[in-house]
Amino acid sequence: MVLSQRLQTLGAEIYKQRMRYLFLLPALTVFTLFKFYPMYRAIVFSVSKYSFAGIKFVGLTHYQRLLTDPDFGRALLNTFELALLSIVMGFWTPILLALLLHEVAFKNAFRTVYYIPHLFSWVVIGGIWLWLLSPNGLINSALGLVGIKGVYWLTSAFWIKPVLVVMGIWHGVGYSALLYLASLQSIDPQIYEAAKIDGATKLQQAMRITLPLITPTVVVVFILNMIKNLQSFDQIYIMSGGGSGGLGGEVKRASDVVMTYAYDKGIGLGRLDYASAISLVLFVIILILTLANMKMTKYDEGRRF
Amino acid sequence: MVVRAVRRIMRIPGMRSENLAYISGGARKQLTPGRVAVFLIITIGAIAMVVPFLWAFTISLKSMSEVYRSVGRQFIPDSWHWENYLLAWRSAHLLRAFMNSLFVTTVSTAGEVLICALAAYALARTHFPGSRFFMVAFLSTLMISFQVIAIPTYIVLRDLRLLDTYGGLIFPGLANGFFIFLLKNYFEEIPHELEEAATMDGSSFVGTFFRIIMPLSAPALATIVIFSFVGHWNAFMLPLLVINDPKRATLQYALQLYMMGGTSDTGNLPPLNEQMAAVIITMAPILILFFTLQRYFMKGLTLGALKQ
Repeated sequence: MVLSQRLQTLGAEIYKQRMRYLFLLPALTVFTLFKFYPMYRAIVFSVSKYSFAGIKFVGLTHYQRLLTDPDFGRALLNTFELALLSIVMGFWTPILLALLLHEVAFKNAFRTVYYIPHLFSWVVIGGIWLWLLSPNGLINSALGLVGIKGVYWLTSAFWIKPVLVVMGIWHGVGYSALLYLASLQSIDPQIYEAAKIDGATKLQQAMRITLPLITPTVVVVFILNMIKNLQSFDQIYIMSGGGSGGLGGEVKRASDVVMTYAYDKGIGLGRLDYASAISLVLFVIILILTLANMKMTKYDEGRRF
Repeated sequence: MVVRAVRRIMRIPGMRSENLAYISGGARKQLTPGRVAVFLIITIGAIAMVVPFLWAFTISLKSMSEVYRSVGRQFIPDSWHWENYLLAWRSAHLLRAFMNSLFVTTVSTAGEVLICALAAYALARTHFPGSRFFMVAFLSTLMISFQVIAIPTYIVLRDLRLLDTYGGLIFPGLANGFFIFLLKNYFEEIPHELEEAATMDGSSFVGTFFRIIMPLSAPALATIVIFSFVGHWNAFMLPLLVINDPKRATLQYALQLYMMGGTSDTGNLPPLNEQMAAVIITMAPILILFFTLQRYFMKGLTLGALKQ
């Protein structure tokens, strides 16, 4: 009796709110078809053998092969190396930029200028940088003017990683700096006034007031950039000659990352099952690192900012 | 010491920043060596941000012989070759690609913003059976980025027979959990009395949404339209996966094909000045959008990541 009554009230409630369900339907359909269902398909594909004959369950074979696939190992290593290099070179740059932008005259004009590269696709950015970095490009010419011999940036297995990282910083520093700047502007100026009265130096103010107060933003930006770096595809694909083998094998080996490897295997060679397994491994790695980051830094506290 | 100062300020009732604004903001900034140094550093950095674009622009106007002659030395072209743009426009089939991009981006943006607004309004304010589940489901999509499910999305699009169609380019981008989240927050800040008054006057749920909520949310919607537009315009991986037939290539994909020599009969790379002209053409719509609607861009950015 009680159950049927509750069901009745539930039904009445649902009927009353029927327009809300109708409003949710389009978004739910898109997400189901292009987020959840692909995720499900990836899981199914990653444990199947896929061929013209059909699909056959093969268990964890693909994951076992991943463990012993030297090309995947190298792609994974490259991905981590690039991400680490991006952190070392690119973590403090936007913070420093924001601190300087906060002080400088014509602040608004400058922050607009720094944001400009972030507006454009990697095809556009890559097109321009492929020339900048070419043997006779602007960078080598500029180095030549001060007497430094040019470098074959894009065909050197040594230089390709730093070049990709510097490009990435150039592309995204303005965006990250804007986020920090917004956080800086939300700090109550009277805190600085009080510190000044107590005789704190500029450096002390920066270390003891500014940095602790923007920490939540630092965490958010760090996580966002880490995710971006781990799953980068467009930049690598374009800078390595668009998959046409434009670069020598040595450079391709040095710049191949997880996503480009998955693309080459899945789309290039048609091994969609294996590529699905690669995608899922990357998904899990990103998930673990994101959760670990949030836990270590008590991300929830930052949500209020 | 500093901590003590902060505590002291916190204890004083009524001491808010606006009361002190005249102290910090009113004082005129002096020209110290430190400030000059900061200004110089920022200026050098700013130059590094724009020089690649400016240089690409001047190259697009030079003749090839001048490009070879003047690398790194001469910025302004000797003679202005606007015909490079025409040549690039023709040989890269940019008109077709431009129209494709315009169509796909417009439909995707309009659809995405409407779909997200509908979902956000349905979830705003009220609890109803399943509302929490829907919210969690939508937020969980933020963890599933397009790159990670690119290969499986390709499989799904193939099953749906959407490869090589405009639909394949449009449908996957029609909803965004983050936009829903942002709009839901925005809708909840609109005074509830407005909705109640409308309902009293006999306005339906749908009518209230279109006649009260949407017009009042114009600033938030504008920001989201811009970011949706830029995102769809710049999309590269999706067209790379979906499109095979160059006739349906979007601008980004067509530009990539062209710069890799994929659209020339000989397979040779196109001349650099024409390449840069094609790059500038691809940049143009976003650049125009950015400088006309800069206010919304800057507001939306900070709104963007910090509340995530």
